Amino acid sequence: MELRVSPTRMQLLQLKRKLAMARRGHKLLKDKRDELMRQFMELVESVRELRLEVEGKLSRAMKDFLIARMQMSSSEIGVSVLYPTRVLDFEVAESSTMGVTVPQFNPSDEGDQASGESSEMYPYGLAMTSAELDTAIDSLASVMPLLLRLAEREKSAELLAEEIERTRRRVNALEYVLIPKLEETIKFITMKLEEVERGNLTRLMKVKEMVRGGGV
Amino acid sequence: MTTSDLQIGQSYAYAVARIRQAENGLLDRNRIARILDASEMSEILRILGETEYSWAVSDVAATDYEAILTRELERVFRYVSQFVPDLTVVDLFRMKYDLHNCKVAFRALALGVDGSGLWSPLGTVSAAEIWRAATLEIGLDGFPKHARDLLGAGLDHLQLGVSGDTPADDSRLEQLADRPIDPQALDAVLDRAYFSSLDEAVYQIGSSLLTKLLRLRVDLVNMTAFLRCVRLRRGLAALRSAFIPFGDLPLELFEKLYNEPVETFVREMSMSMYDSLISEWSAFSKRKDAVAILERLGRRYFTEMCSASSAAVFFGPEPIASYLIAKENEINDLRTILVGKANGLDTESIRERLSGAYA
Amino acid sequence: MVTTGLLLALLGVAIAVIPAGIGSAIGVTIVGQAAAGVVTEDPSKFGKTLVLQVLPGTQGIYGFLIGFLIMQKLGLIGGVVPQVATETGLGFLLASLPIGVVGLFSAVLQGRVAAAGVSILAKRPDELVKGMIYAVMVEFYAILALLASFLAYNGVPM
Repeated sequence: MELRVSPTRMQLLQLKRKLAMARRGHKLLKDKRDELMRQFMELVESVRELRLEVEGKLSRAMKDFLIARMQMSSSEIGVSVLYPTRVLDFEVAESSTMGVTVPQFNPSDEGDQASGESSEMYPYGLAMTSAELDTAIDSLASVMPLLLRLAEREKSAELLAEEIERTRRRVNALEYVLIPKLEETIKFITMKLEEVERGNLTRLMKVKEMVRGGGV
Repeated sequence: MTTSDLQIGQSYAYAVARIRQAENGLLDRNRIARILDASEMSEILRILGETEYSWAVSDVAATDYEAILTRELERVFRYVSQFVPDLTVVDLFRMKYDLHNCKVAFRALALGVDGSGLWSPLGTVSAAEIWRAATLEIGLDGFPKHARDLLGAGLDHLQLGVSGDTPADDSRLEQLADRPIDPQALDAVLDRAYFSSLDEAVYQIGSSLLTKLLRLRVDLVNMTAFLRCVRLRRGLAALRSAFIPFGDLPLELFEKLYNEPVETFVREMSMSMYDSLISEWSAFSKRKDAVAILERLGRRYFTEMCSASSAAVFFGPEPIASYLIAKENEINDLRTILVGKANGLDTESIRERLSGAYA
Repeated sequence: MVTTGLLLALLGVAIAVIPAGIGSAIGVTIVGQAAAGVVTEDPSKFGKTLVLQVLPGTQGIYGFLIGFLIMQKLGLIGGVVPQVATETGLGFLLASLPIGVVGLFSAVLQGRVAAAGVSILAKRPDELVKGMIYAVMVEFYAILALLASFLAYNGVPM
């Protein structure tokens, strides 16, 4: 492509302008990539912490469930939790980090349920069930918001990673393909122009010599 | 000494003697210790195979311990029914599974599923019959009184009406599927119907000792239900709906205590007949798992009261009820052990959750 | 010629034999049922249950003994119709009351205690003797009644 350009001054100017822009773009993208990287690392760190917490809480909940299970037969527990009463509504919003659209899950009515009708959470009567089941349900319920946040963060990290990959590819394309090619083309045009210049000079000198010789 | 006295004495003499002999088959401290020490499920099954569980563990996959326990209870009910003069005594223990099946049926109905895998075969009425009654396919007339009460209470609560006179009406069932139900309230209604049936059955058997034990049982249930209501802040309305009215402790007492700290509860209860139980529990009353501990202590207390009071009875339903209670307890304890073992819980944590005399 | 005295004496025989016999029958039945319960579960205990079952049977024997003695003294066994004064007949009737009444109740009650003893046999076969002692304690009062009846019978002049 670079060889197909007509080696004119006009073209050279244009190319030089293009190169400058590519360089600036390259620098900006590199900055963006670095910033994305930094944010990604932060996010990954927080995801890791959250994941550990969720895993800890989940295994606690499993243990609580196990203890409830030790007191009640599997079909008793089965029927106790068969009919779900709690519906977790959450809104999915979008927010933008460095131009990346990441999801945000906002549980809609977590607050009011905790105050007023928290007993809605336990879909069974009291007489024939063990208090251990309450504990198990509590534990599981306390993991839920964390799970939601973990899902949000992990998705964000995934999207960020994709964006980083894309940016890096662009940076690389600029750095290793576009800019070198532009530079080469510029060099080629410059050389071509210089050659023309030199040819002109030689021709001028020749003409001068002929004029001087013819004059003898 | 009247003729009827002689009659009861005669019919129960045989049954009680058999029960006393059968009590030898209950797992003793030694066996429980061996099961607790066993490192593998196969070993536990082998130990159980040497006991009266041998029928229950045969032809059952080792991992399906729930099936083993169900089969054992099935066997015990069948066995005791052979010779007990009044089957109501066995029904006292089987009604629980009718209650369970009703809960499954109504929930499944509301969800539009078939509840498979949750049905219990141990009830006095087959699960299939209960399902057919719940889906209004058949009326309630063919059911024994307690099952009729249970189903009737449930159908009423779900506003399906006590059927029998009206033909099956699919539209009512369809409406139900669209309408959310309150399973807690449903359970409260069914539980109350269940305890009311127990009360009637005990009255019909005419044993003052069993009446006393039922009251004790209800009081224990009410106490833990009260504490759970307080802990989960369910409110007075929930307390009132969960309250079972056949105990000695009145609802007013619990209502009064609802907004009081746990110390007041301890003080008030130690003035009741449960002072020994409550004083044992008061040391744990501040712990996070206080209610579970009361549940456990209550179970132990109940078993002790039961075996202590029926030991002196030789002609009557009490020893039979006592045996069935002991067997139920043993099976629950085995469940605790098996579930704990299968999930790698340490022996100490398992042991402290047992309620039998060997604990 | 049958006198009032003879009728009263025969009534005494009946009172000695019938209630004690009924009592023993009931008592033995109760123990028998309990014993059957134990033997259903563990047939090897049959021999031991027999000992307990026999105990409430003694009252019937005591009653029969008194009745037999009265009849012998009357000379009924010989086949002659004896002449008995009304007072003598009444005396026999009263003499037979202790074993009749006490025999009935003690046999039934002893049956219950012995059935309880069967429970001991079911749970702890080694402690069978203790169960027997409890049942024998009831026997003591039947023996006292027998003694009273016998002394009274001796005191009735013919």
